[in-house]
Amino acid sequence: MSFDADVIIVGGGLSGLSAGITAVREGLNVILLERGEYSGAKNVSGGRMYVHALKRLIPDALERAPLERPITKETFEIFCDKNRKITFSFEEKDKKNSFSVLRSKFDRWLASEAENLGLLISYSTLVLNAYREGEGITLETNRGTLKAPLIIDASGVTSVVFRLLGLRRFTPDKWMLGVKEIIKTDVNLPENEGEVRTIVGAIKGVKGGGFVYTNKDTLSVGMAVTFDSLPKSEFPAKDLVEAFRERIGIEGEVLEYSAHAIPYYGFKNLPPLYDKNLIAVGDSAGFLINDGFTIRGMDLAIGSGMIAGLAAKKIVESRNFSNTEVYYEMLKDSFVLKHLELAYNRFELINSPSTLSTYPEILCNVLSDMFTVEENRDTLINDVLYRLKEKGIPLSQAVRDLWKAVK
Amino acid sequence: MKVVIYSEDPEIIKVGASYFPNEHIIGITTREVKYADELYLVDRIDEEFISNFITSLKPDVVLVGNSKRDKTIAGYVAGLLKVPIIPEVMDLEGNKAKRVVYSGMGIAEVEFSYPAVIIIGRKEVQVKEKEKIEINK
Amino acid sequence: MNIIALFKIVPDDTLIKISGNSLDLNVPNKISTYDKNAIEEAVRIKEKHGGKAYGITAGITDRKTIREALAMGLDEVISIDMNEMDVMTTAEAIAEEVNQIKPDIILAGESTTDSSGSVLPSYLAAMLNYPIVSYAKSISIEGDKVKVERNLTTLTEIVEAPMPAVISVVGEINTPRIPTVRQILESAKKPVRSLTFNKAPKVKIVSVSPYVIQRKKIIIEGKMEEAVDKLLSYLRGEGVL
Repeated sequence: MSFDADVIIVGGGLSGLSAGITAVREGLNVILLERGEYSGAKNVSGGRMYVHALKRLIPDALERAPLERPITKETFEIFCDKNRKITFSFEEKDKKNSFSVLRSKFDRWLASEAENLGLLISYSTLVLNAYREGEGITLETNRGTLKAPLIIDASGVTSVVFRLLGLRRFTPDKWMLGVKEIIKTDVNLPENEGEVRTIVGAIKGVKGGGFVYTNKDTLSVGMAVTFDSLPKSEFPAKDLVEAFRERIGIEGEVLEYSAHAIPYYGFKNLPPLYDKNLIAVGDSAGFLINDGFTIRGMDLAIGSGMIAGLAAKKIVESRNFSNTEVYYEMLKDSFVLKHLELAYNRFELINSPSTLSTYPEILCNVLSDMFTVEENRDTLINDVLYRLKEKGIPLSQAVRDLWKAVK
Repeated sequence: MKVVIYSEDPEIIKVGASYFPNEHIIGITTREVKYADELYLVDRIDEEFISNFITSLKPDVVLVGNSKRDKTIAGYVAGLLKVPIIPEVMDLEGNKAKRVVYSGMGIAEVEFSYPAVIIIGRKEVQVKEKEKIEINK
Repeated sequence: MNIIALFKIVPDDTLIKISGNSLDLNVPNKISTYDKNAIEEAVRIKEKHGGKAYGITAGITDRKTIREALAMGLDEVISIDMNEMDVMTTAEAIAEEVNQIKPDIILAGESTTDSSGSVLPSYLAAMLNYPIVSYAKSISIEGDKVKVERNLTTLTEIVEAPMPAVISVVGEINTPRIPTVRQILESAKKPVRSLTFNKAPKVKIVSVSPYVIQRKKIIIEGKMEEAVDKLLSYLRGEGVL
């Protein structure tokens, strides 16, 4: 049985390109299939990258990559009812730990880096079918049929190859809807500063939050909400981002609108990450962290992609293509699964029905009480207990939740 | 400066003459017009023959129209003379020209030195008719 | 038979956007539209008559796009990196390489989407002292001659020229093939010879700005037939017709 390559990578986003770059550096014979006319053509990611993994992949990336702005200011805004809002900011100038990025530009750059390193990319190539044949997997595409003993599925949340082989079953509670607009605006910040605003409660009914990222001369404005909460939303999905933008008072020309699905599994509910002759990376593996402070998938995509490239080398050398567990073993030792596990408590907390709706309301009530001077005034703790009880949350649960949030 | 204007479209001689009002103009076209000091009329378009003829005049500037055959001749003349060529010029002043680029999305301003071949299009211009014209066929 | 297809790598004109006072040219590259037809025709002639199909590209030399040309069936690409270029320096750079290959036919697209000059093929032909046949909509090889149907918009002309010749092709000559993934894999093994050509061009681009069309807002009045005649003569005067 003859194969067309050692490894076929499906998907030319961050995870696929990182896997490709690493595998080519390891001397493997790789081809990457990308459905867009170029990398980034289909990408609509929210646009904040923690760059630690990128620097591992391409050491001088910060000097060369088309990054927009370093994020030096974090602002949280929590909307309560009755015109009440909690806002707090944290600023750390000269910080270069995360950057805003426009993925259509960034992915295109990374693809050209990969091609210059010798990675073969076949564009406008759509995987239509996948089946096991002999010692490998055969992919049928709109540009002909291909076979390889190892496939890396980097096709995003829909994990095409896993799905075509019957290895994925999707439920709407495991996905979020991401909607985003790019707004042309004057950004009144020095070049080396950027802000991320995380906004909760601006649109009632939906479970999730909104964000605003400062790019060079645009803003990325968007929301990520769970699919199962959409029916309860104040606004239909198609108007969500526009309503959000109006509510937080951002004006400007809309340059781009986009919507896509975001994985939302959490460490304990991750889908199968590997199978015989097959491994999943990035969104396709469900790698997304939401711990209330950070929402991140890009560094996990790059990290898991690099590990997949290294694992591919080991698998090819062993000639035992059905044993792909080596990938999982390597993942467990890496930041990817460690961080996912660390974030799980807060993920679960955020995901529980009361957290995003009830606690902000209680907090607003308490703050409102404390900033109001009347003859009757209680101690802070008594007021907190009263406000908790009012919402039907026993103290023991509040303490447990608080513990989860800090653990 | 010796200015040669060629086009299968006689209107182009007028447009070309408008860019060089004070120069001696040699026109080459298919029909009699009054905007050249010397006029050569051609009855059959043989691109290489016409190109060789234009080249033999040793011009400083060659203005050519923008029909398909005109452009073929313009390129060939420039290649024979080994001089720069500027296609699709919509405005010309001294050694600067404006031309359309990127499928009509943009305008480029370019700077060049003579001798040169320049491709021009029709546009509305006012040019005085010349009184004495020498016509060769 | 040695065939050369000239192709230019250009920013994809369908993706170029006007942003404020400038054109955003930081868009993906592509093989200029009609140059793809030239590559296709070169490959078809090779498939029919045997020999070798070369590609020569000058200017932007991006690997992704060169590989696409190879995947379409070219056997080898000569990639000439040029920072600044005009028609003259491009023709000079290409002529040097042509002289080493000694081709029977040089094919090029009728025009490129970035500069739409349509003059490089005849410029090159004159430099090489080859005949030029422009705007070909069909090409057949008969002995040591090529027979070409030319699309001259208002008429079709059939001409014969001795080889070697330079031929520019129009879009209707063929439909460029879409390579399979296997052909893309094979393209990686084909040779690309990279060189640079740095000669300052005589035509320098000072600036590029968006083309904003000023509406002329002319109203033509009168009876329908007269108005149509007036409109037609106005459009003729403006060079539109």
